[in-house]
Amino acid sequence: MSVASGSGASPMALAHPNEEELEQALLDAAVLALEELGFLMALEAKGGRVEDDRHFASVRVGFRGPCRGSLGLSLDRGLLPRLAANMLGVEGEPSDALQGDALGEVANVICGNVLPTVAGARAVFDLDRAVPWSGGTPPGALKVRLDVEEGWAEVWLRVEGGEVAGR
Amino acid sequence: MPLNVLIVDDSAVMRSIVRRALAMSGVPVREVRDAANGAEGLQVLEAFHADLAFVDINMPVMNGEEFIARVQARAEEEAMPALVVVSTESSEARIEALHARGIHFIHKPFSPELLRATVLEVTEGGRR
Repeated sequence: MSVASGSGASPMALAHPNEEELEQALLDAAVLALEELGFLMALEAKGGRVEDDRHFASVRVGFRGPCRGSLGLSLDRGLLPRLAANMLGVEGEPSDALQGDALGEVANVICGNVLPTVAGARAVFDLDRAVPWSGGTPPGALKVRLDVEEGWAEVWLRVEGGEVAGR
Repeated sequence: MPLNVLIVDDSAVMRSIVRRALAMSGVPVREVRDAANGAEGLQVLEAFHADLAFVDINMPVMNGEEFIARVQARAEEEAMPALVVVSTESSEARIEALHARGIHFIHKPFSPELLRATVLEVTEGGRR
């Protein structure tokens, strides 16, 4: 894994999950968001990923609180119109802007749902709006891959230890 | 009695999801209006009496915290909509702080059933 620790760590504030717990939480949060928000069936992937960046759309959500960091979500481009249409409850292909909005909302929900595992149920975080991301998976990030219907998704989480927002 | 509802969220997708969940929930609704941030939300409230407002927290221009503070500040002059924060952030401390200010909370993702239960709690249980 993965969860990088910075020098300003605040160990009392963090829940200190082990790698397996955090990976499972990331997986659970991604499945929950894709299924309940996007109406797409998802499960942990067993195979290798497609390496060509042209095949996926990616967003990143930053967060600040007892620790700070970011979460990234990449989704097979072939699934993106369906994700957005499902979330909007419409037929046909939504605009590119709405597709990006939909992917960002899913990433935001995954992030919000995994942070209690990182820092405990009472920890307060501020989440940024999701932004398009082309930087790949940052070094030291925890990553999970999911099979989503006939495509796939990847989610990564990068935590920088214990630097309290505003410090 | 059918409700007038305001949805304040910078995500068009999330506004659509709340609107659709509301329709599926069976809650009687007279009219739904939406706004892309808190400032737009306040503008809508100038001419629209909302019984209930669903509010995102993280928004550009004016965030949900400021929108809520402004709505509550003018509550003595005008009827205030019941406020429900819709958020991905589920910190117990943050939820308790919201409840202490009379604000309800729905965690994303949510079902139409949860939305219905929350609306009924807000409307039948009285405003906190």
